[in-house]
Amino acid sequence: MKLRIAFIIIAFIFSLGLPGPVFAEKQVFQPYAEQGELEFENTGVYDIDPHKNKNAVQEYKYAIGYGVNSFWHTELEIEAEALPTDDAITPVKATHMEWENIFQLAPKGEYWLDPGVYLAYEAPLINKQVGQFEGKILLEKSIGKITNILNISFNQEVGEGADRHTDAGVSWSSRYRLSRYFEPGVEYWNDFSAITHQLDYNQQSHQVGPAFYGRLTRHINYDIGYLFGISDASPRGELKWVIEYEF
Amino acid sequence: MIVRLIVYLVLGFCVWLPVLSLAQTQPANPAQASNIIVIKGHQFIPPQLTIPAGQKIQITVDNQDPTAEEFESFDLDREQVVEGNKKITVFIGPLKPGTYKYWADFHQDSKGVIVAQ
Repeated sequence: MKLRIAFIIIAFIFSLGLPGPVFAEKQVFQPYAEQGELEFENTGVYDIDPHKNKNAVQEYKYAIGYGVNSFWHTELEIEAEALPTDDAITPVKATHMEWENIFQLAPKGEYWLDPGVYLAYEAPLINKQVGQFEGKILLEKSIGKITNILNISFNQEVGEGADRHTDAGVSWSSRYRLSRYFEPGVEYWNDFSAITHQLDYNQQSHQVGPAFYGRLTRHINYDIGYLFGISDASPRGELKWVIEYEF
Repeated sequence: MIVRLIVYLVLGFCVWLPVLSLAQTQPANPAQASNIIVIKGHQFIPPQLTIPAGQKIQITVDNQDPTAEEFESFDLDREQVVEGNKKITVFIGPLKPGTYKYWADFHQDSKGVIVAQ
């Protein structure tokens, strides 16, 4: 029975991606691993912008993850994107396969801040694309019913034609733990681009907006939000979501 | 410009929240105490554990069943798996005086409370 439900959920999650498929996965990661937890996950981003080459840019990730032990969670993902060209958006295409790992560095609540590390490698599935190493410092602090999470990210492309500059960014989530089923919050996303370039504010991507988190059922978690672009480099709006089935 | 100002204010608030909270709730030198909750026959023993409020506490969850269990609490913001015949440490607090519910996620009829006073 459990297996049948799992297949239904997976089919539903994958169907979300079919109509069509931003530049980056929009999930603020918590620094925790849950031993023995198996999960199927769909992550998506859809951009809305008056400029043709920035409108309808999409990225989808389909992942299977497992909590190997109490400090290591690993995931294998397929990434599909609809990318911008000079005057249009390409059709959705699977572009990368990613191996993602989260390492919990201390038991939750032992220290003033809960620390973790995220390490991932994206391998290209299409010729002329490059691979990428991604590292994040994950920090979380709960204060009463408010949970604050900070991710500090670094990306480095690898392979032929790769940009040798390291990109950096910051993402923040603060959420009010109203109930297990509904936690309203706010997210801020920033992409500094290459650290050495020291771009102006408007050349960097800055986004902020409301987000909602919680459980739909005992096994299904959601994370959905809408981000407003607050710099010229950002899309005017962006819908983001994460849906996961865990058991 | 106004939007940018709002963003900086929100971010500034978020950054300062932890500092303000630390000053209000955490004693300068928090005492720690050990407490044990046993899982046996898919039940929590004792079903009610009383701890001091305002202190960081270590709770040992000792699963004496052969099967894994998950210690879960929305009130305490904790969710930790404890394998069969193994123990885990759960760090909680400092808590305000009150009652905090928890349950076994794999056997949801099994419930307990932690009373901070």
